[in-house]
Amino acid sequence: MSENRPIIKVEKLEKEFGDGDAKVKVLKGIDLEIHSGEYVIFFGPSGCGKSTLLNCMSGLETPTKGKVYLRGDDLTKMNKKELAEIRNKKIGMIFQQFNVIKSFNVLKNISLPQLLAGVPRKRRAKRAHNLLRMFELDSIANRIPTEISGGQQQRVAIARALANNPWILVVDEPTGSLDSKASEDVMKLIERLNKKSKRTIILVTHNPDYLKYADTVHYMRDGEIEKSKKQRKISSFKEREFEEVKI
Amino acid sequence: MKLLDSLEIVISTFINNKMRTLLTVLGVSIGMGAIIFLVSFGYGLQKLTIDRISNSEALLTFSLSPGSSKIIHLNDEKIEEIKKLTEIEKTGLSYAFSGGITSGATQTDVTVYAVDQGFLDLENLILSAGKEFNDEMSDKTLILSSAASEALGISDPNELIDKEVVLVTYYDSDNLEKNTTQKLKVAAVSDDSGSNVAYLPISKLTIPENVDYTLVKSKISNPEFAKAAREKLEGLGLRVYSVAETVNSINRVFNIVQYILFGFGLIALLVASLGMFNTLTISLLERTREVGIMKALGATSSGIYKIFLIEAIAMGTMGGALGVFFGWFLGVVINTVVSRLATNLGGSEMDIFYTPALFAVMVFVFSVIIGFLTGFYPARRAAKLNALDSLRYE
Repeated sequence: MSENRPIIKVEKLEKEFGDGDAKVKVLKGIDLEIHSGEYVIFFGPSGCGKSTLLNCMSGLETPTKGKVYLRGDDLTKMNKKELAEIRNKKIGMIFQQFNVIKSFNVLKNISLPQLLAGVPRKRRAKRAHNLLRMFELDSIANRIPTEISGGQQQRVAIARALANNPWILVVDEPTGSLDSKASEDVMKLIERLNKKSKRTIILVTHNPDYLKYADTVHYMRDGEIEKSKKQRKISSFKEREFEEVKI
Repeated sequence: MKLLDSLEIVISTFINNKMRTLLTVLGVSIGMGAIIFLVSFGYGLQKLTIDRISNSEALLTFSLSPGSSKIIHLNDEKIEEIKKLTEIEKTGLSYAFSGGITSGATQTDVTVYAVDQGFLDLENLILSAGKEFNDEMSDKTLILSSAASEALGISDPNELIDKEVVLVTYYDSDNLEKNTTQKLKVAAVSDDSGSNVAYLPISKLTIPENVDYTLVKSKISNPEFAKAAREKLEGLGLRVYSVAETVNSINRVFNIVQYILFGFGLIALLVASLGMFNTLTISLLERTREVGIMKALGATSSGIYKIFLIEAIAMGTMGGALGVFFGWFLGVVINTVVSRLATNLGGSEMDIFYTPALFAVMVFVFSVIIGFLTGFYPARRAAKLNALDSLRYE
């Protein structure tokens, strides 16, 4: 990687849920670095802790032990308000369930992060319209989510994640609720955001077909990273091969 | 997040839940409307009663009598002393005698008030027919109360106007020989079904010497003088009475009536408030996921708190505005109908509902406060929701 300083650095990260006998250790000491512009996939079966790791990196989950650094700032030491601001401006989040707000139309959904950030109305509208055009959502700007398809909803969610121009996109099973055609479109879109806009992508999936998109794949099992593979620099991802590396 | 932006989110929520919002707001407005309607009824009755017994002039007028004292004489000397008081603007004099009226074959006993123009002005008679006499109308010089008119067997007071009756005035109850008997034309009939009274000018009688005035009325020039004037008049040994005292006790009674009516309205409001609280709490459950999404996208707890609180306050505000309007409007409609019925039946117009502006404003503010209070708890719960748990909520 060209930059030496990682955009995200995770140190000895542990996460436990529950108390006493019911206590479950979901993350058992994770160490990793993610660099700017990198496309990283966490791959593993459900329950391996990949989503919890993702939530720790986006500040939604508080780790039991260990550190998460975002450009050198320790997320585990931040208060709720600071974390909210990080999620609002530095990290764009995309979910399996789309999580668009059902009482808002497409336009309002897309401008919501900017509204929460207190961006003035005019600038907000301008940004939202740019995003609508970029994602070819102009024609459905005034529809509410129940009136559009799943693929369209996910495109709205991606546009919304980009509203405040974040450094990092955190993506959790983005195609889990989509058919194969829509899934393909969404994955291509994320790929484009990585290649063209140089955004850092952190994606969680259990679908092995998507591994080809990544620069780095972390294979997870039972709360640990089993192995990590870094992709060789090849121009076309159809012929990608992976080699095992130590991180 | 800015206040205006929070409001934008709240409006979106309202538009998306039109039915629920409408019903909740309607519930609050019914409660508020009930309070306005019921208490306006109390105010209306109070106003109606007090307008009957007084007007603003009557409130400034003192009735003066010597009381039971034998030493104090309400004679011209005393009148001069009263007129010297700076607070007194106008004074009217009257003698009261017993007497009798004969019209055709019927006869009735009356109290005869021989009055000067000042007294007649301050007496503020409400007339059912005719016009008060004055110096220019010297041939029509008698005013009878409607009670006296009925005692003469005449139910329509208009029949009495211009009619000639015979009035006997006895100056001394121990010596009925001392009297004046005269024919007089009736000028007016006053609306007083309580007592048989006849008014005529002092000049129509030959008052014997050493007879004191029975009742003197004095009007003060400014309500602020009431206390000082009363003290000075009492200093002259006079018994002082003012309508203001009656009005005060009537007001006290009506205040109690209004509290009771307010209490009934409050019950309606309590039910509406519980409904609103219930709606907000259920709405929070429905929108738990929405709260989670907003928090994941960077909404702070205080931002979420603001949205829910604004939602509740907005409902309270709309409910209050609608309720005040409905309550007031219903009163106006009933006033119109009742007045029309009353005038059709030969009575005078009357407003049985009266909504003071300040009261309406108070009820409106009260509604906004209710919104705030019912929104407080759901808003706090919404703010405390954990983002990840809320995102998983279905």
